[in-house]
Order: sequence, then structure tokens, then C-alpha cells
Amino acid sequence: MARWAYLLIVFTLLAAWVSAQNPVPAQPQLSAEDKLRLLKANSTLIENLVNDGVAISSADTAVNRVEHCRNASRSLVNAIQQAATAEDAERVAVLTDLFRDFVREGLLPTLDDAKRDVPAESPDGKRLRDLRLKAAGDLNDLKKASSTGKLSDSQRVKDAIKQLDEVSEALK
Amino acid sequence: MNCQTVQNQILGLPDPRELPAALREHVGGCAACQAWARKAARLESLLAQLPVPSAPRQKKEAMIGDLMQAEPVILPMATLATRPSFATVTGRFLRRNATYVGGLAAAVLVAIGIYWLWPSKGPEVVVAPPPQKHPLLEKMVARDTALARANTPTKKLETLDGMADDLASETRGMARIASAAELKQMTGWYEKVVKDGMVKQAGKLPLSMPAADKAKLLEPIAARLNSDATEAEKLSREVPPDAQPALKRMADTAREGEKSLRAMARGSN
Repeated sequence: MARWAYLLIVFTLLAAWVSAQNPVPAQPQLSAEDKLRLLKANSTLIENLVNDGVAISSADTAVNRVEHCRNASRSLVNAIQQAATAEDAERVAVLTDLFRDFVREGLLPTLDDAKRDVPAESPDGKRLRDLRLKAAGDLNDLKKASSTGKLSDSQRVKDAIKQLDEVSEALK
Repeated sequence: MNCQTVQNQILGLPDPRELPAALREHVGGCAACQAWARKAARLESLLAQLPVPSAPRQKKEAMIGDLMQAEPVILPMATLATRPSFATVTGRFLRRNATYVGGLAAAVLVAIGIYWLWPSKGPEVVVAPPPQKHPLLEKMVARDTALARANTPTKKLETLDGMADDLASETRGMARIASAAELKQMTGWYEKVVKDGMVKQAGKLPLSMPAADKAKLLEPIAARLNSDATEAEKLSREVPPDAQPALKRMADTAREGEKSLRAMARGSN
């Protein structure tokens, strides 16, 4: 009996070892056709992000920087709305992930930094509150666009939207 | 008689220290066999010197007792109980549970038959959606995120340099497949980052920054722009004619950026 147990263990270990020898499949390379298709689909968004990035780098005040960051996040929301209109669930999900990353890592910390530096009752303080409201509105626009038509049935989109809970909470 | 035979015979002797005449004749004239015989003799001597542990007293008495008892001294050898083979065990199991095993086999066969004969719609063809993850777009979002967090001209400049590098690399990669208009648009992005981003940000470096530090920051960036220019020029000679103007424009942008940064690095601007 023990012999069979040993054999089973040995073969299990052998199978595990053989499996470990196979490298993790690499991310498939995009074909030339896909590269072109994605460039066409994203050229407006990339152009906006390049302009927004340069503007963020040139911003001379914390509030201006927030404003340009919000512009960048809005550029992403606009692209997501277009993808939602086309009922392209995969594109909506991919862009929503990018939006979440940018808001969480870029916009929210910038908002928090500015809030610390700018007096709440100053004109800049009021501008800052407006920008936060606008960013929250962008998020609502995104959620609304993603819950229409066929997209409301897409698990991929649902998962991406679910991931926004954290930034929704932070923007309140 | 050859050496190997002699040496084997030496090993076979009851006492290799005393060689018979037949072997002694060969060993006397052969250095190798002499050495072999010496070693064998030494080994025999050493074995004789090995201490032998004395048997416990009780053991000796017990053995004498065994010899003196009435029963025969030579007892039948005990045999190990033989383990039944896998085939035997399986056969025994099948014989004992023939009804159940037969029923189970019949049920499996019937299930396979039903699965086989069940009308199927054929294999479902799942069409994977075209990939939507665009590496350049992901890089631009990451660069914007980094720029949002960059709080010094140095960090901003380094991030913009990375952005320009991403765009230059992508433009070169697309040079053979994108249309002239698309390449022109991509070159425009590159130009925006270099002229409105990098050169302006380099101009905002604090005046108090030591010249050596400024040169240390700007020179590598200028060198990378030089590399962009060289590669774009080289590629412009290899691509179709309609792609050439965009690449030449990119090379010019990179050269101008390089020139401005080198001037700032020298402190002359």
C-alpha cells in the first residue's frame, strides 16, 4: 500500500516539476494590423493625454495642476463614453482600468496636496472644490455610460466598474 | 602468465604473504606485481590486527544451551510471508464483488454510449475580442500620472524625457505600417513634448542649481535626443517616401532639443 502512495507522491512531484519548467506564456505581441487599429482608435485620446501631460508639467500652482489632471481624467471619460456608445465592452473595461489608475495615483493625491496648501475660503479653495465636484461628476458619467445596453450584461465591465468604488469614495 | 592473472591469483591466495613458487617467479621479475603483492600482504597483516569485540558471556551460555537441548540443532529456516501481488489482490477483489463491478462497468459503458450518440451542436466557436490594450496609451497614462506627482523641475524633465522616448520609439515602430498622416500626427506629439515640455522645463531649472549638477542632468537627456535624431534620420532613408517627411521632422525636433539642452548645460542660455 505504501509503495503506491510513494509512487503517487513521486509522480505528483515530477508533474509539478515538469510544469514549472514551462515558461509563463508571454503577453502576445500585437500584430501590425492591431497596432494600426489601436493607433486609429486611440490617437485623439493620446493627443489629449500628451497635451494634458505637458500642461501638468507646466502648471505653476497646485490648483492649476489639479485642473490639468482633471482634464486628463476627463479625456479618458470621453473616450469611455464613445466606447460605451459603440457597445465595445472590452474597450470600456480597458479604459476604465486606466481611468481608475490615473485618478487613484495621479488626480486624488494632487487634489489632497492642493487641499493642504490652499485655504478653503480663498478663491483657489473654491476652485478646488469645483474641480473635485467635476471629477466626481466625470465618474458618474462614466458609470452611467457603462450601465447602458449590452454593457450592463458584461461581467468584464461590471468588474471594472466595481473597481471604481475606492476612488468614488475618495472623491466624495 | 601476464600481470593481471598473477595479481588475481595473489588476491585469491589464503595468505598473500606466502607466495607459491609459480607466482614468486613472475613477481620476482615484475615491479608492478611486486608492488601489488606487497599491498596485498600489508592488507592481510592489517586485517589480522583488527580488534574483534568479545561476545557477551550470556550469548555463549545461551548458544551452549541451544546445542545441548533435545531438539534437532538444525531447524527449518523461517520463511518470510509472501506479499500477495497486485494482480492477486485485484483478482480476489473482482471475484468477491463481481456483481457490483459488473454493474458499474455496464453503467459507465451506457453513459459513454449516451454521450456519444447524443445530438450535439458541434464545437462552439468562441471568437476572442480584438485586443484593446494599447501599450502606447498605457505608457501615456502612466507618464501623466508621474507628471502629476512630479514636484520638481528635475523630476518633471526626467518624466517628459521618458514620454518623448516612448513616442519616438513608437513612431519608429510604426514607420513602415502607418500612413503619412498618422506618422505626422505622432511626430507632432513628440515635438510637443520636446519643445513645450522638455526645453521649457529645462529652462525652469533653479538658477541656484550648481552648473555641474545641471550638466549632469541635461547632458544624458541631450545625448538621448541625439540618439532619437540619428535613428530617425537612418530610418527615413529606409522607409517609403511618404513616411520620410515625418521622420525627418522628428529628427529635426530632436536635434533642436538637443542643441537647446546642451546650451543650457553649458550655462550659455
